[in-house]
Amino acid sequence: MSAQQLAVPPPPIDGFWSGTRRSFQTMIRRNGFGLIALVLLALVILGPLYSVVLWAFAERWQYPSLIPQVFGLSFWERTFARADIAEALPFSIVLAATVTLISAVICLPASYAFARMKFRGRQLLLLSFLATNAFPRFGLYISIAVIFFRLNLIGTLPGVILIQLVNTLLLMIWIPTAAFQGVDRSLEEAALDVGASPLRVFVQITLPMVMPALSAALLLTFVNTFYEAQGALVVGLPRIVTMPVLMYSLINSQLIVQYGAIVSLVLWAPSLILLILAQRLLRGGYLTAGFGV
Amino acid sequence: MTAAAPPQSSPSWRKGIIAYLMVAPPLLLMILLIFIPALQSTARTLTIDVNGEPGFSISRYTAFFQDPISVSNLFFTFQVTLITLAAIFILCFPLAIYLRFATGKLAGAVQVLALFPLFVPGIILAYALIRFLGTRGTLDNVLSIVGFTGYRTPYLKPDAIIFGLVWESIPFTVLVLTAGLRQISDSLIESARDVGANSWQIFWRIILPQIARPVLIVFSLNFLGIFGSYTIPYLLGPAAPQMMGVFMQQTFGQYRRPDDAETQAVITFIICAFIGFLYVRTVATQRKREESE
Amino acid sequence: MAILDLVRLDKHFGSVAAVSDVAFTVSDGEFMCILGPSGCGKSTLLRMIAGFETPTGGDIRIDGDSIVALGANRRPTAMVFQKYTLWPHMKVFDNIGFGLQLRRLPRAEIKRKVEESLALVSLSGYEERYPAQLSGGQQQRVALARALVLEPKILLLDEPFSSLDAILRVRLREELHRIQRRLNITAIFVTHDQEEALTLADRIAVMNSGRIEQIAAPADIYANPASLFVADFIGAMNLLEGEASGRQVRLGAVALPTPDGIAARQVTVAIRPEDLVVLDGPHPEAWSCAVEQISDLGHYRRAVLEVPQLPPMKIYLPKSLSVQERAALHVYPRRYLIYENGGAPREVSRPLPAAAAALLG
Ligand SMILES: Nc1ncnc2c1ncn2[C@@H]1O[C@H](COP(=O)(O)OP(=O)(O)O)[C@@H](O)[C@H]1O
Ligand SMILES: [Mg+2]
Repeated sequence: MSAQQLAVPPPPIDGFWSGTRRSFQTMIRRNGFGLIALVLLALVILGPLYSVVLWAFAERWQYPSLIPQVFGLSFWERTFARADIAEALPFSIVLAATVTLISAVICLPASYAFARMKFRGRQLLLLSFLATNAFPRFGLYISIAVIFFRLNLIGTLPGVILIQLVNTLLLMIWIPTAAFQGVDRSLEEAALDVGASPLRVFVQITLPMVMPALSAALLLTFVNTFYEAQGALVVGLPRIVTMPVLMYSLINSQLIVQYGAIVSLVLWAPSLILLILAQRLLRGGYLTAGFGV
Repeated sequence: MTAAAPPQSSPSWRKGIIAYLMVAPPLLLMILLIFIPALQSTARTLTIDVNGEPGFSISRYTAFFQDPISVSNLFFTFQVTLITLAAIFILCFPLAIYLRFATGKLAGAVQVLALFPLFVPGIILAYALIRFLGTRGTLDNVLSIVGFTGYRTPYLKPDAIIFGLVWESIPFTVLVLTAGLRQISDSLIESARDVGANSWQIFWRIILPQIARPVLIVFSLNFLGIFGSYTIPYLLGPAAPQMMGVFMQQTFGQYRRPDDAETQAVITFIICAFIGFLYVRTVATQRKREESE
Repeated sequence: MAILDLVRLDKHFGSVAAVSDVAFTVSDGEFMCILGPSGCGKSTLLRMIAGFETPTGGDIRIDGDSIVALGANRRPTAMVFQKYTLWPHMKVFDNIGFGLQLRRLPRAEIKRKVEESLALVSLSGYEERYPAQLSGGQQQRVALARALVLEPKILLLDEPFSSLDAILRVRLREELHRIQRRLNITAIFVTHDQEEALTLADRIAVMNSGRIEQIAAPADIYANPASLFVADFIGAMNLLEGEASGRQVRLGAVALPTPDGIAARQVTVAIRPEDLVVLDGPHPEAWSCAVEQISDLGHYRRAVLEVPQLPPMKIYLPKSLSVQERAALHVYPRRYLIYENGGAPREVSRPLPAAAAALLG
């Protein structure tokens, strides 16, 4: 995409601070940059999605035409009549929910300890979870798969759950830890002071205050796990086929374009939830929390 | 400090144990699924069977580097990684600077578009890009309607991989860079302007040093992400040369040669070790600084 | 209706002794202030009484019964914190009613008590607000209501007004005073602000590095600071290093008489600015000095005097005395305290010298 306009930083910066002087000239330049960025991004970001959405509702779409010649829903029926899809979709949902639940059970107590308890090596152990991001991911999956191979975990549900759990750790520990740390201790002390037991303080004071962060962590973990394809591919095949893994074969070996488009659209639903909540997730800094930033 | 409290050491000691028990499950999971596989793979690739006894050998690595296909795949992975990284920075830096300093509806729209890929999972993206970039895809379609008929698709060529990887990386990069830029106060820039610095000097001398950390984080995470990628290169890239992720999966899943796949994985570990370390260290120092504030 | 006894209370964090050997009794309905510089252990002391910290030694008794073994949630104390500690997800009504709900009071009674306590802090009608919709001063009033609604035996306050602006601080201080008197509740108020302590307290306990330096009524503390620390910390004071010999203390070029012999050679003389009397002319027993600087403080003026070989000295001048900067003055210390190393001071109070008259003294 036109590197000329985007690649050179100075022209856009130029005007942003100079304010009054040369403001007219810079305003044009600034808006020029924004306008060009908008058009290019719209083309490149929305273009691919445009194709998918239209293909999902196309009965017939022959080259060259900007829109399908015939719209219709007949492929939807055929798509969901396929046994592999009908099986993989609910399985994927249950799998993602299971992994999220296990992750929460494992990680939430840990995050509470990281936030609220004093112990030697606390900071170091908390940082050690960054290691989940510090490896080239697919190499790591192969390494894990080799071990699972010897343990006969390839193609088993526990194998897939384990490999997907690894990806959830950082997010499920760091977001809640920050949230628990954010609860001012004197708010809890004030509750103790009026006679609440420690358990009640946790349930009625601490928990409501960390709830937004915890729900964000759960939601993001669910969605990320739902779309996790690579670990499941390496460890799950041939017996365990999640929906994203099925997509590989739909893309690679399916002559009917509509199947892939329809499945893509259906698969996109969880992301849509994130998109709707995007502002809140962004404001809480949750969207980048999985990367440690 | 904890050591010098003899009278009440027993309850705090017990508390320490509870804390360790709470952080143990995710920690164990990480050790079992990241550190042990990585270390064990490294160890196994350096040993061979000498009359039933394990002995040290680098023969697996010499084999890798003597195989022209392996070497060309590794070289190809490097090439794609570096070009993609360069493209990401060339696109995202101006975007981030624009978003940091511009206000209004146009900037808002640009931001929404730039962040949109965050909500498109990789597997759906791959499908969408095939429909968009492929022969007789949307792009081809649009171009032919405006009268341009010489479209040559990048699909199944390295360009498509780079396009897809850049597409995926834009939101995270823009988010982190913009957040970093927001840390620089307007007054800092204005005072530099006041003493006579031009835009270019401001960028190099004031802005860049201040966002060194976000830049390092973005660089290292994108490097690791691209080097360890699978879905995009597998679905959009050529059959040869392959990126390491695709190569490993083929070796492991198709050719059923886990030992060779393991060697390939360890080679990616070694290449990425420094980058992974850089990532962990950068995030760690940033966290420490934030905590001390 | 309660008496609080602190018995040789100790608290150390690792090697830091935050509170050492603190012992005093707060009698029924008394308003006790704990005053001291930041970091001297005031909060730690209060938090031990509330149950948030466990003492490393000593005992805490309410009406004769030790409460050290009780958790914070079982103690008949209620605390108002320095920071705003209203629970942000609860309305004012629930913030105040929470403790009552825990005690399973009937709904109607909770409502009545919450309304009463809100009226007490002049916030009737604010039940349905969330803390974020209140100003800082209102939040601290609700926090006070939340503590009072449980009818605690001891009310504890840890610098509750320190995050408010000066005017609001004074207003809330007066309001607290009125409420405490009306309920006749035993209260302990921690502050580093001496003005706050002097206006509120029945008695003040001055704390320094974890220890109590003096416990006495405000006027007593002001008139007879038991230690050099208290003398320096409370009110304005001129502290002059001197050498004792025979029946006098030499301070640079001047000297002051002592009533009886002093063993130590190095002593410190403390003179309140208001105990320096301006004479109408030179006198052998007066100190001649120059006016260094004058600040007009409304109803009186404060001046800094330059006495040869002594540090600058503070003095108050009545408005009627027309003195300019650089003018020469003759001042006479009418009352002073002599501190030897540690220990209680000797007080010296003497009449104006014969044949001298104070200039509107
Ligand atoms: N939880 C704690 N851990 C370690 N040291 C503490 C703790 N709480 C207080 N201290 C130390 O105890 C001393 C007294 O603190 P504090 O009671 O808060 O003083 P004040 O309220 O008078 O300002 C300080 O030196 C402080 O650093
Ligand atoms: Mg304090």
